[in-house]
Amino acid sequence: MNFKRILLVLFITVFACNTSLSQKKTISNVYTLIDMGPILAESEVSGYYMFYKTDRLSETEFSYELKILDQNLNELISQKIEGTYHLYLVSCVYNNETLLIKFYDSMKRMFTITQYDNNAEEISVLKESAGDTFTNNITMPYHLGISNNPDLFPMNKCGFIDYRSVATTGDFFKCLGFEIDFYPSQVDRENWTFASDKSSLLHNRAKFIYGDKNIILSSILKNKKFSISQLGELSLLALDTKTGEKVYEKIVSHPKYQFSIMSAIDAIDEEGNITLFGFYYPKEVNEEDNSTSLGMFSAVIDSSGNFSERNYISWEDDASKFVDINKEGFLKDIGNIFFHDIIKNADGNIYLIGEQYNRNHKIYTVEIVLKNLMIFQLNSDYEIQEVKTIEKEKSVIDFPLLFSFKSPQYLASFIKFENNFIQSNKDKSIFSYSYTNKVKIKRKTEKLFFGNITYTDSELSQDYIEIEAVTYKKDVSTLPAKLGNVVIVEYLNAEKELRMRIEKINY
Amino acid sequence: MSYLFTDPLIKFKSIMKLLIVCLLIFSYTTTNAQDSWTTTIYPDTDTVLFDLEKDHSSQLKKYDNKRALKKVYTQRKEYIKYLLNTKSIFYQDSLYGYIDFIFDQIVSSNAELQDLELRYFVSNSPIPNASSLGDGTFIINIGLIRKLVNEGQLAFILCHEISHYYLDHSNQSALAEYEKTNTKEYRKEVKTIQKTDFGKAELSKSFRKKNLYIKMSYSRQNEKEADSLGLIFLYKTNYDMNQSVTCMNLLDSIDRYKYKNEIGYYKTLNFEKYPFKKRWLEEESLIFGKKVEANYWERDSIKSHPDVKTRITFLNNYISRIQPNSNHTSMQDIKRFDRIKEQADYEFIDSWIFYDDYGKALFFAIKQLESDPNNKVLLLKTSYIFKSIYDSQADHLYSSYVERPSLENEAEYNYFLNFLDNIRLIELARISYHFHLTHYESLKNDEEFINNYNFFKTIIRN
Repeated sequence: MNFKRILLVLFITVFACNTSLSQKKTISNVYTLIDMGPILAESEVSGYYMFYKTDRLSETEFSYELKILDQNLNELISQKIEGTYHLYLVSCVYNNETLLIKFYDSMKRMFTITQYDNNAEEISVLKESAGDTFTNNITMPYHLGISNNPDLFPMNKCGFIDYRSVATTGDFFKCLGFEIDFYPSQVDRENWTFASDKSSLLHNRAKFIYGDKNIILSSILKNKKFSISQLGELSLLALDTKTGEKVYEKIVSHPKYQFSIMSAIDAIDEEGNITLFGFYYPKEVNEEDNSTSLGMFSAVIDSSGNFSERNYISWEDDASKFVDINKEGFLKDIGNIFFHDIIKNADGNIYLIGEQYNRNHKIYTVEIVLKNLMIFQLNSDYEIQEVKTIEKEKSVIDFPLLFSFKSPQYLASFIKFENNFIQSNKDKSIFSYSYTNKVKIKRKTEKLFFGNITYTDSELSQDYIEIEAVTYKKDVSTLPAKLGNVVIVEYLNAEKELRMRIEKINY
Repeated sequence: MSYLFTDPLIKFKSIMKLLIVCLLIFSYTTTNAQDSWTTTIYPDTDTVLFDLEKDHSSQLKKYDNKRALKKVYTQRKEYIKYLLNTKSIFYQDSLYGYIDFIFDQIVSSNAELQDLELRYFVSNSPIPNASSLGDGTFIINIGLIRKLVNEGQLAFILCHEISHYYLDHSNQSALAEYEKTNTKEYRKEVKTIQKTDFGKAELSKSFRKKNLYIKMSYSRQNEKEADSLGLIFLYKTNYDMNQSVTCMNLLDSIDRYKYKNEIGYYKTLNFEKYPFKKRWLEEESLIFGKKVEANYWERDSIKSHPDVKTRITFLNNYISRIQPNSNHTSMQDIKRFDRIKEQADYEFIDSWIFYDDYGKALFFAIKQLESDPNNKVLLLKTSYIFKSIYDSQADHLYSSYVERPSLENEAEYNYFLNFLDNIRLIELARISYHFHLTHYESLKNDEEFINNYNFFKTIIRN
């Protein structure tokens, strides 16, 4: 024990002063940080999970620690877990009733799915073999340095829905299907799995759109050959939440256009209608060329999956009245728009939050440079009312060269942009966009910048924090926090220590 | 705490500390006849440290294993030096005079204490605690003094701490620790852990756990012994022995807040032109409604003190067996004690500011204001804290000065933290401005108050 430390111990012993405020959290013994991230309850951050290696127990077995913190960084759960070297925390999601944590051991090809109730009591542990699951789908986010599987979704006080890609013929590149697993939050209800047609010779991919206690709606994209395009034969699949039985599957067709769905805007109304939002493309567009949409669309579908209403907002005719944009959605002299999210607030206004971007090709990566923020304000009839461009600092995201031809819009549906995130309160009257950017200041030192744009009571405000220097000794990053805050995370390599603090954003 | 931050924060904190000291001195000289105690520098610290070193040398001579204790004595001296340098301990005539009298009563009534070299310091720590460093030095926190009900309670606390020294608890623990860490078995165990390839972290944790449990078990035994002997020392004085029990009750969390009036958000923080907003008190929902204890540490095994209720039972049993010889709760003028406590309440708020906890400082200032709404000293402190919180939030350093809600906190304090958490920077400026506007007439002659008033006025106009 060195002298300074002895003095500190004496000081704390005698003064017993609360020298570490609760919004700061230090976790030691973090030998390898496997994963950490926010836990969301609807659109708000309710806590954090972290999973890290603490010890080597034998040639093949390792000791891990799982920690769950609340939104103020107070520790709620600390659990020791043993597993092989290749144990991943795939997902940690909350549905306002239970917390589900999913692990995957790629050596044993086993999933472990644990649920905790609101008293932090473990209510179920399910172990299942990965079977034909295309496991790269699970582990790839880690290889890309991006955490958490984006394919597991919470459904409010009901359960969780998990999408898995499955190699139906044993050869992923030849034939691909999907399986949808449902994990109920209530112990007296059964799990179920819905599998795509195993005899299909098409590549089938499923994406979550909406789920409640009655229905789960997914978009299904079918392609003849292996592709990671967002275009192809699109259909809507509705499953009964209680049984997993198919309610309907409808192909989305149009004589002139094809579509990609971004998200559902609202919950299903009393009559069973739901409004979807997305982008439309010319019928003959190349599958690989995703960045040339003609505009945005909204569509209402009824309880049988039939389209009862469609609205189109074209770049050429509608958006160009507000912003200098060409018919393919390119901003003249600027580049493309990447849409992060769509938000409908209590007064019926709809806000599409996008960012201008450019793409730079490098030797091993493709660099997406995100520039000014753009907010498209639509009225309840989906007519553009205003387009605001908010100047902000650039932020850069690197992707593997494999994705070089894909639009960020597509990449966002595939993996999360963790350092660029949108948050809102429950009634959507306040929403904010946060981003971080690392700027090289010396050979091995980068400076981290955090920016935030908040929309409150129809007013925009901006805040900017110069956080820390990132060196080879420590890594610094940010995590989404409860609205109006940001969590700053430091990992100190030598000390094997993780330090977190929550800081207020000024707006 | 500063290790968490980069240079700008340390710089910010240093400037803030300097400003606090300057402001506290300035504000008291301009608005209040009483001087702030905690800003009074302890006199002649060189002589204090010289005498301490001399006493340490003579104490060390009594022990065979000087090597084991030399380092411990050096640490004690450096620690006192550190507290003096950081102005964490202070000197104030009337306060020290009051405690001197109690000290004299104890020592003159107990012949076995008369040859001992004893000294004490009062620290600005807000925590209700006193301690014995093991070399005849005792530290009494200002946070303890403000909570005590009478002189007799302070007498018992001093008797308890003197007993620790008389029984040589600290040095005996240090010697035992030295002997234990130098045994063959101990060294062998450390080497085994170091050489282990698998499960090293778990082995090392278990080893630390085992040693801590043993240490804490001795510590709890020492506390019991100090309670027993402390009661005997008190018995020989003219103080009422029952004050040992009333004093223990104060330490129990049931009686946590001295000022019972709850903060009236819709009264104290509600202004005609800026009404209090319901949204500011909305409580956030938690994933889990309770804290889930990690089962690694056994709570009772890591406590340094026995449970307060157990100590009270023990003291009551002891007192019931003997015939108390006196029933004096105080031997000095009660008004003098009341004045000390009143000042200690102000110092208590300053001490939270000193220890960078603006959340607690504001909470206790507003709580005190609920009982005394026009108290100028409290209003000035509140003005200062509002400005400090605003500055820290504007500089994105809020987390360094204000806690966030936690299940560990008392409900009333948590509710207050939730309120601070919910208000935006501009809302904080508006609340602060209207607070200053409300008290403008009574404090318009105070320069710092007017500066803060003008500052918030400018902010909300922009």
